[in-house]
Amino acid sequence: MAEEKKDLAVNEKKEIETKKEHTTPLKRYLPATDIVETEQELLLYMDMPGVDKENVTVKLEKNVLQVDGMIETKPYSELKPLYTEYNIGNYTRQFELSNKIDQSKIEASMKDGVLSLVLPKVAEMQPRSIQIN
Amino acid sequence: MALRDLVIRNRNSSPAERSSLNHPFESFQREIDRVFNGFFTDFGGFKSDFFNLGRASSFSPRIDVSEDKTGINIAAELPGMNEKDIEVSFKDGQLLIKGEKTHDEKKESEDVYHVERSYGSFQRSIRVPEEVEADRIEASFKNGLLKIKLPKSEKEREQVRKLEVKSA
Repeated sequence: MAEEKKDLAVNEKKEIETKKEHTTPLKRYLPATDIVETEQELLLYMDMPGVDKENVTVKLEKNVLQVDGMIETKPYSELKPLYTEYNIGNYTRQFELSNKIDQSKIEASMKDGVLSLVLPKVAEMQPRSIQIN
Repeated sequence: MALRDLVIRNRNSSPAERSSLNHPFESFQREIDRVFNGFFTDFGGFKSDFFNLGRASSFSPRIDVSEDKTGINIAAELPGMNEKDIEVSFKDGQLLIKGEKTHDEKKESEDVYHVERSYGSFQRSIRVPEEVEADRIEASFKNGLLKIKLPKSEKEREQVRKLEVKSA
């Protein structure tokens, strides 16, 4: 229990600051991401609370994996904030993929506000046993 | 539980980096590290986050409190959890949210490469400033967002009434 008391600070959402102009008035946030590696693939888990499956886009263009999660703003329009620890906004993040990833086989799924991406490694990168003649 | 000991493997402190001996196996290890590090180049600033990893093991969800005509709305960001992992209770004007977020997606054979998300158990209590109807509190969970609606009691609503402004 002592460990819990030690750090009760809320981890801030990371807001993205870019020089580009955007056409949406909402703030943009960097989704917190875990990357896990297995022998066959890399797994990405991205936290996007409040984002519906329908409002997520994952694009791959010129080796850049672009992930966007759009938030539904309508439920918030009538509310008057009293105390806030987070703001709402869209999530966006980009990853540059190397040629070690088999880009044709990337899979994505969304559950409980977490986007899971499976990036399979190319066959040459996967461990294999070599036959002894 | 020292979660960070379980999940974080700092590449900089791997034997290959620490040793100055140029053993063939060590240089091989270094080559592997280099290959793996080459998987990603992130535009969003992974490198700068790297030293915050320890903090990620403590989990305290972000909470927003807002108000509309009918009541108080409390929202908490709990991505990756579902309604079964969360306990909400209300007593003496205090709303308590409890839960635990576990690493259920990961298997033991996997190697954690980068961690930003938080795990662990948490407990947050919120003092609700106005009188609410405890029997009519509703909690819902969708897309990693917990929403609790606390309707204001009749008495509280009556207090907000329009005053007639008379001309003197």
